[in-house]
Amino acid sequence: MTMTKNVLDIKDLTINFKSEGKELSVVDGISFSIKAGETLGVVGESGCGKSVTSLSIMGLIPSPPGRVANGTIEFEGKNLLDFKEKEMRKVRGNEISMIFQEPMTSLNPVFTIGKQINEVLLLHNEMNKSAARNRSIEMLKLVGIPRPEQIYHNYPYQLSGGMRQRVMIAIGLACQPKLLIADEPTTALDVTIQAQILNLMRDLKEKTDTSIMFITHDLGVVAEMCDRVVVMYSGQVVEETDVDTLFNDPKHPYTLGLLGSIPKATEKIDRLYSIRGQVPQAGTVERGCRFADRCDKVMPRCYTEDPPLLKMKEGHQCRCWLYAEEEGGAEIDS
Amino acid sequence: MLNFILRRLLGMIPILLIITIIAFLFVHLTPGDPIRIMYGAEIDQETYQQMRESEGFNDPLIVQYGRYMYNMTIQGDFGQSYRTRSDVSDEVLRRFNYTFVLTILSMFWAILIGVTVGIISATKRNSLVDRVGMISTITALSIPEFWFGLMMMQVFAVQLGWFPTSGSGTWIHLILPSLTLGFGVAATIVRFTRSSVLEVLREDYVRTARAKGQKESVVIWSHVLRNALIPVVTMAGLQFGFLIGGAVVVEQVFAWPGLGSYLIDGILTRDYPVIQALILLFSLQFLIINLLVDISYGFLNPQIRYE
Amino acid sequence: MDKQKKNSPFRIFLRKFLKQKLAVFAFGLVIAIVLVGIFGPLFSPYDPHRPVTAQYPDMGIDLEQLTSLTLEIEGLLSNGETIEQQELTQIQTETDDRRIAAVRRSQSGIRVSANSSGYTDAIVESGDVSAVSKVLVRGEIPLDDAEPTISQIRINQPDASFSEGDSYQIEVSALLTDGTEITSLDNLKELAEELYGEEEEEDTSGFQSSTTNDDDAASFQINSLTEDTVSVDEDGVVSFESDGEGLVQIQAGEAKSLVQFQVGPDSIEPVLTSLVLQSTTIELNDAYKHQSPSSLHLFGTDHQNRDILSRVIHGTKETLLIGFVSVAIGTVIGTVLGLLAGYYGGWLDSLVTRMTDVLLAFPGILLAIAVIAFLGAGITNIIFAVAVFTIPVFIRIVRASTLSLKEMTYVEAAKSIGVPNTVIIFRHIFPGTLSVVMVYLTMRIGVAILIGAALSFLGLGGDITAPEWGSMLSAAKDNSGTIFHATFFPGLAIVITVLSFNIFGDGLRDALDPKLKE
Repeated sequence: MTMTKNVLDIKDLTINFKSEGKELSVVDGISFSIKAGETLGVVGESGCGKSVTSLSIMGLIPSPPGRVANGTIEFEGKNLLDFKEKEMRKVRGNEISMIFQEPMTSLNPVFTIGKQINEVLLLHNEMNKSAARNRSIEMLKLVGIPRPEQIYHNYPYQLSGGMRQRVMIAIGLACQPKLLIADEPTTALDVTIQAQILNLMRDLKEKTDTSIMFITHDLGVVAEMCDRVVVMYSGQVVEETDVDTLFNDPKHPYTLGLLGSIPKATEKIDRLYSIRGQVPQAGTVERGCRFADRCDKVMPRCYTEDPPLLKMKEGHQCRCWLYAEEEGGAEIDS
Repeated sequence: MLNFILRRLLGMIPILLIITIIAFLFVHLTPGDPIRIMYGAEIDQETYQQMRESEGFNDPLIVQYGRYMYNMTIQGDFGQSYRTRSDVSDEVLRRFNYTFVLTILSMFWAILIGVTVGIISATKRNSLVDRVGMISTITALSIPEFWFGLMMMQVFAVQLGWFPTSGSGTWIHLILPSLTLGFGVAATIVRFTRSSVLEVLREDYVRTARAKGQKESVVIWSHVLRNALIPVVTMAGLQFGFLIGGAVVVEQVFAWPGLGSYLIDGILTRDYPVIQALILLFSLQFLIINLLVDISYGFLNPQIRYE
Repeated sequence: MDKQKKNSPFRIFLRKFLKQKLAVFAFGLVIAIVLVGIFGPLFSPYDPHRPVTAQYPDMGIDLEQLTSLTLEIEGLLSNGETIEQQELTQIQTETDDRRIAAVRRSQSGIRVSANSSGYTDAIVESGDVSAVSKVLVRGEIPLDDAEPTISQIRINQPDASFSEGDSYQIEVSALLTDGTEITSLDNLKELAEELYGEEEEEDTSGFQSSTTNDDDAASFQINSLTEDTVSVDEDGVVSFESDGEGLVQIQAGEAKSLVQFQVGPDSIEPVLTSLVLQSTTIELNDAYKHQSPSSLHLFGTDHQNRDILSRVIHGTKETLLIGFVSVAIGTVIGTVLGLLAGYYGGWLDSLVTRMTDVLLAFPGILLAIAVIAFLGAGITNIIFAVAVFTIPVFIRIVRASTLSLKEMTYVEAAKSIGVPNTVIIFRHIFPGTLSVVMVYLTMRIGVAILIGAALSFLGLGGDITAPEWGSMLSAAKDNSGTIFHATFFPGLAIVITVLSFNIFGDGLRDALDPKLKE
């Protein structure tokens, strides 16, 4: 495994959405990268910009109202933002594929399962229908679907949510992509099914060596699945670190808050910790730290100056004034 | 599926029975004496009584109804027109073709225009095309069919002379009446198609199709339309019934010798056997259309097909 | 307190509604139309039931002035002098087709009066000379195929005198009714042949073959009126036979002119050689039928010469009556049934729902026609017929919203403290359905007007002469097939009215509850 090579490199990505005549930055200058074979968790509350980021990688931001205002998305050294629609279509579903949160509605109800897997195969590979059929059934087997020959001819409504998500994974992996973006793939599923799907994804990752960008708000899932984690808040990266550090030595008050809200089986407490307040609407905080209003450790400086992303140690960065004077806390961005 | 059709067919029987009773009672409940209408008001009392007896109007209602049903179902006899004394069933059969051709062609226009404009409006939402389209449809829905027909006649037949003003015979005679009849339904289909396509465009599986790297045109024409058109087909089928209603008016405008003008003539001259037969026929048509719509819905939607 | 007022549901609704410019405009139109419906008859310019020509005397409009025109004429003498029309004697006037126009001598010339639309020739004759003017009467019959005819023939009058044995070539020009000039004899002959010769051919091919010898129908003639002094051949070469006065007449169609020759030394009296009409074409309007839109009649008149604008204004009341009353009946019955079915459920609900389903399966217009077939034609029956198919629409929507309101906590609370059912229905549930009912009410008025108009168009409205928009169109279809204005304006009135209600209804719906949008 060549750990040094980056599959995906996002730099200073800013995405704006127009709403009632005003343009708001939903994603504001984020940078992160994914190495080959790595699973990167992207964590944050809903509305923090993680889904928009993933759609921008696919080039699927609804435009208008959205647009990428700044930055680069480099995939294997090439900036996807420079790609024409036609070139982008060759990347989608082929080199980068995506599975979505809602398995119940993500499959087209009027086409058979087989047809929907075939579609992506025929689009990106030179193969005839029967080869596609064989490959589709193989994929269904791979994602652990029983009686694949029969399911091949079924319609989505005949399958349960978990089964459908397996089909989505089969579609996602059919063309052996370099990168799989999984946008909350287990959120809509029952807990037991959730575990099955996560196991499946972990197994498949080992088999196929695909990099995964795993978007979730569930830190438990992160602990199980990911190598490294990016924590996003209100369109910004607030902390980036490996998964061990995240759980053992989290720095950002928001990350601390997130970890605090997980119930622990070993402790009995009266009231679960919760971060007070609500996520500010994107683009509404003009100055200072976006988390300031909800932060337990807020300082006067937090309201007036934007905190920079500070380097804690190798591979660990945090956007908080608390660590500005600390030893080794070197500024990374301006 | 076969089960479903059989069940629906059986369900139609009581409704049909009720309609036959209504159609039968029609003659007895409406003002005006059928004998007087048939033979004129001036016949003397004796002949009048004789006629009543021989036409069977003196029998108990239930006997008359039985005879009516027997004639109709076993003999295929719908009685004779009071006015022309000709067999109603012959006349109906002759005219049915005219109305049928007219409504089919109108539906063709309506779907052609309606679905195309609806899709364009939806995919170019809030554009100029969309806005113009939407204002046109609400205007079209406010125009009485008969006036639209008269205006078409003025412009294309009287002023430009491209089409004959009225009558029947060649396919050219069909153009103006069918366009007139189709435009109102077209407007309805535009609105319906647009909202249906917009709804489907928001669906997750459309995003999935795009994420597969599928071309936008394929996404629209295959993934979106297959789903968006299911409710449109249902709606268009139901509109078919309304086309037959509209045909009554349009036939009158263009002197088209279909069932509609037969019905209106029948009403204006109190020709009860004609009205009776047509009420039955129209009701039967709607029941059949509704059934066909349900069946087609099943074919388009796999979920229903397999249940 | 003030703030509360600002956020009252009505205020919010009003604000949302006023935002939609088009809907506000449509609302204004609706108000205007209703006002016309109520007060219109007071302001309508004419009585909608009588021909306008019968009303002109009362209104101080001179019918004569509208339909007639005076044309000055003068005579041309052989010595080059002109004489005024007063001095002309033996003037005779006639028209080709008296049904279209009549012409008679008057103080200052001739007077042409239109009778009905079409075109004809007015001929003025004085002795051996005559001139023609084309009369165009605008109206029902299109005038596009009116061909110009020969109006006046001008023969060059030679100044010199001739002597026996001389010969002279006549020079001729002619004026057509459309103002063009024909300059040579050959051209004139050719044209005359073309214009009048064909007519003869048609006549011979038809049943009236005897008219070929008729002198009047001659296409072109050139002959000497004084055979002993001059003779003339077909090509206009005059030979002088003996001394005296020579007269040659050229006739082309209805126009005739003379040329006078002095043969020998004796001077002769000048004679009238041709008639000159002030204009070669007379345009008149047919005031007795289908008058085109003019300042007198903005929308023109119909086949019975009734003012269409007045009829449209009077028809507003009838149309609105059909719309309002039928929808009101349908709404009241439908709402009550919907409330009861939705609230009580059970057998009542299934009966009402079943009935509604059956009724809604039929297109409104056929249902209405069936009702008319039962009740017979007539305006009240139309109202009732339209009401019948409005009922199920309201049953369905009111029932649906009753079902959801029934589950509301405040309704359950009222039930639990023993409030009687009728009070719950009318105090707690009915107001909740009101906004949906209002929206549908507005939208259904448009539909009701459309169906009502269609029914009267089909002749099911009873009185087909009534100033009702649908009947007007029906009459126009039968009697004014080619007349644009007769069919256009009543229909436009329907479209504007229905469109106003529809756009207003759309606006109401969006302002009250955007979710109601399909």
